[in-house]
Formats: sequence, C-alpha cells, structure tokens
Amino acid sequence: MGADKRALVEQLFVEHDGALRAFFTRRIRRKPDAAELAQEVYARMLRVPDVEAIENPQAYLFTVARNVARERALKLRKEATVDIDDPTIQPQIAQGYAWDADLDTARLSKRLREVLLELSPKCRAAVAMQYWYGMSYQEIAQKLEVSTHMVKKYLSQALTLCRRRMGRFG
Amino acid sequence: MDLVQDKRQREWITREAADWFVANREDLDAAQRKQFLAWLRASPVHVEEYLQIASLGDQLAVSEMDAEPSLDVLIERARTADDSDVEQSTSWRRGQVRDRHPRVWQPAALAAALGVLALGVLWLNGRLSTSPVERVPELHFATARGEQSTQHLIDGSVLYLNTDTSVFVRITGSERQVRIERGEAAFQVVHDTSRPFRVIAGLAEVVDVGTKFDVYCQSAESTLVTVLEGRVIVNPTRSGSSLPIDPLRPGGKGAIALVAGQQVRLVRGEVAFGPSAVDARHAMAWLEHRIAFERQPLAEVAEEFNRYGGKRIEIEAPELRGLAISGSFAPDDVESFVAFLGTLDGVRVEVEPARIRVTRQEPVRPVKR
Repeated sequence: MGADKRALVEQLFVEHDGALRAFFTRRIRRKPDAAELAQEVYARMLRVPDVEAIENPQAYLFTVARNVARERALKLRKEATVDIDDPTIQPQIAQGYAWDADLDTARLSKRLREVLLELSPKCRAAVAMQYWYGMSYQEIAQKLEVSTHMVKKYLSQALTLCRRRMGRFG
Repeated sequence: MDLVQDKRQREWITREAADWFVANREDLDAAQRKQFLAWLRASPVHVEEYLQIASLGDQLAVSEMDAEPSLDVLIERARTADDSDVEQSTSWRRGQVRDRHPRVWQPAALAAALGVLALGVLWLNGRLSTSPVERVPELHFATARGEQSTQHLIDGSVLYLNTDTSVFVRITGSERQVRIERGEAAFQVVHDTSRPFRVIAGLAEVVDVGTKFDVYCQSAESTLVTVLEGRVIVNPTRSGSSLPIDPLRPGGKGAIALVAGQQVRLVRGEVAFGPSAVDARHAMAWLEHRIAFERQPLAEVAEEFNRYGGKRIEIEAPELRGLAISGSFAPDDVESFVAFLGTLDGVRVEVEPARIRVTRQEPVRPVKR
C-alpha cells in the first residue's frame, strides 16, 4: 500500500471513529450479529491479494469492519422501512435496534465499572493511566517502576478479564 | 454456527486478542505485522475476538473515570501489591511463533478441550512431550445437520465442510493437519513441500501432495477417500502414529497412492474396496449442494438424505434395501426424492409427520415386463 493510500485509510479510521464505536457497542454485543459480522469481515480480509503490503493491519481491520457494519445498518433500516406497516412486524420494531441502545450502553458501562474493581491493583492502575489519563506504556512503566513489557501484560490481562466477565453479561 | 464451541479454547483466543490489541497501540515492526495478520487470517473467531476486545477498549476510554481513589492512591497500591497473579500472557511474542513458551495452564486446558475425544487426547499426549510446535492450539470447525460451510485456511488451502461435520485444524510452520472427527470434508490444497497436508479420519490418514480431494468419515471404522485432481497417499492405519512425515516419501508401509478419479474405501485399517475408478464429481456433488448417486443401494441413498436432517427415511422392507438408485438431488429436497421413489415399481411411500416409511407395494395388477 502506498503512502497516500495508507494516509487515506488512517484518515477514514479517524473520521469514522464514532461509527466504529456505535458498531461495536451496539451490534457486536448481540452474539449472532457479532459472529456474522466477524465472519464477513474475515472473508473480506482473505480477499486481499497482497496482504503483506498492509502497513497498519489494525486500521485496515477496523476499516473493513466499519464498512460491513454500515452496509448492515443500511440493510436493517431498509428492511424496517419496507415492513413498517406490517402489523406482524410491530413487536419487532418495539424491541428495535435504536432506542434501547443508549439504555444498553448505560447498563454496560455500569457493569464494566464493577468488573474493573475485580482487577488486581497493578492492572487497575495501568488501565486508569492508559484509558483515562492517556499515558504511554513508557510513562506507565515509570510510574509503576516496572518494565513496559509488564505494563502490556497488566493491560492485556485486564482486557481479558473484562471480556470474560462482560461476555457472560452480554 | 458456533465455530469454536469449546470455552477454554475461546478463552485462549481472547488472551491472544488482548495481547495483540495492547501491542497495536505502538507501531508493530514488520515481523509482528506479519504475525498479527497471520493470526487474524487464521480464523473468523480471531477476528471476532479482536473486534470484541477493541470494543472493550473503546468502552473503557469513554467510561467515566472513578473519582475515588485518586490516581496517586491507585499507583501506590499497585507498587506495593505483588505481581504473582499476573500470568505470562505476552511472553511468547518475544520469540517466533514456532517457539512459543508454554503458558502454565496450557497443556491442561488443551487436554480438557480435547477431552471428549479419546483418540485426540492420546495423540496430543504423544506429542506434547516431543515439540513445542505441536502446542499451537487447534481450530475447530463444525456444521450442523443440513448445513455446509467453507473455511479458508491460513496457508491458502480451502476446506469445505459437508453436513453434520466436525473437524480440527492445526497449522504450524512445519505441518498442516486436519482431523475429521465426524462427517465429510473436501480439500483444495495449496502445494507446500515443507509442510505436508495430512488428513486424519478414523484410523486412516491421507497425505496430500497438492490437490483436490474428499474424505468421508462414515464411521470411526469406515472411511471413503476420493480424489478429484492430483494425487494423494493413503495410509490405512497411520493416524495413531506420531512419527514425523518424510515429505519426499510420505507413504509408509501399506500406503496406497490414489490419483484423480480414484476412490478407496477403508474399513478398520484395511482396504475394503478399491482403488477403483469413479466419477469423482459424484463424490464432490455436495459441493454444489447436490447429492448424486449412480446405481447405489436404496439403503445408502436413504442414509445420505438422513444425514441432512429433515424427515427420516426408513426402509421397512429388507428386500428394497439393495434396490439400485441413480440420480442427482438437492439434499434438502427430500420431497423430490420421495416423489421419485414413489414412481418405482414395487415401492410404496408413506409420508408421516415425523418420518417417511418405505414399504413394499404389493402389485394390484400384473407388473409390466
């Protein structure tokens, strides 16, 4: 991938950060949705002819994921528009995709804070410094007087624990 | 479809996803990039876990920070706390993928993951002691009855799963191995002399040399191997062996070379039938969501339909079991097949709510000769 193209992908990534978040926090929590979306993202990644040329795999992955999520959202909206007069579809609309999302997010946020309390002191401090104070691994390492390698371990372990607990919750 | 049903394996993948997500906050070097891409491309489950972890990272970033305790207090507690609870979650990345350090719980977790498969456990134990390469976790792909799926493997090979099939895939730098626990799979294999592609089904093992072939594990004892393109080596009793494969001479004692258009049936470690010439497209017809028969006994044909779920076909007249059937049908279209059966002389079909009974039709008038 050339520098221009890479810049474009990164720009897309920044611009659509909100869309990405919406995708993650709403769609991916519904288990069948998440698996189906991941399946589609995966299939598209496999179609890349020269995968080694991707300079930022994570940005690329998120870009593909956003596109899939957007297509899917459009499709859902279209389906809802088409069927809205159908009386049998009314209960489905009542449990729809949009209005409960905020409620869900609040509920999840609360649960996440509970899970954070389960973390070991080192993991918790590392999470606080990275996510709330935006500190680099180097800075966190200095504060905790450990290696950056250990900082990464704390953070990885924190995410793993959160994922396990939240997965059961969701 | 739940690709990875096993919880422990899922947890393993979660840890890997978290490691990669943490690593990605800094720039990856070329080797790490390659490894990360390879990891993502190994399975859709990896992609899903990675997106889930990224989603958590997002939520953490926007979640409100705790007012109490203050950051200084958090840091002070962290400094005085001991480290013993932090597992070795990222240490393997310092080396190449091929010499990962074992995690403390790994052998136990893997053994538990495979615990349902007696054969699998034996095989694993035989290998754990030999080489750390073998500790790369297996991927599990499965289809429900009536379902088919296509899996793209990391080496570029393609795996097609037929209905009610369960396979385990392990791909390392030195070998590629697929174990069919149940059902039928077809393979489109990318040629790679440094990594033989081995398929284990029941007692038998098929070593591929770059080709397209089908392995149908009809039971633990009976396996049908059909080659569409290229050539494979079939070892009727090899699968229990843990001997390394010589890529230049992949066939062991009793091995059979099978070429395009040939089929062999193995029963209890011996060649029961073949190698014989077949229309390999028939064996592969399921890939186009068709099942095809050429003068096959009705009992076998009925069993084929029963594999796909739906109403069960039961043949109640023993003398009809050997009736030769030819044709090509959609597996989910039992109705067409039943209609076809009804047109045959001497066959009577009764469709009941839960099953389809096939009985002998007593001729009400003389049958035309």
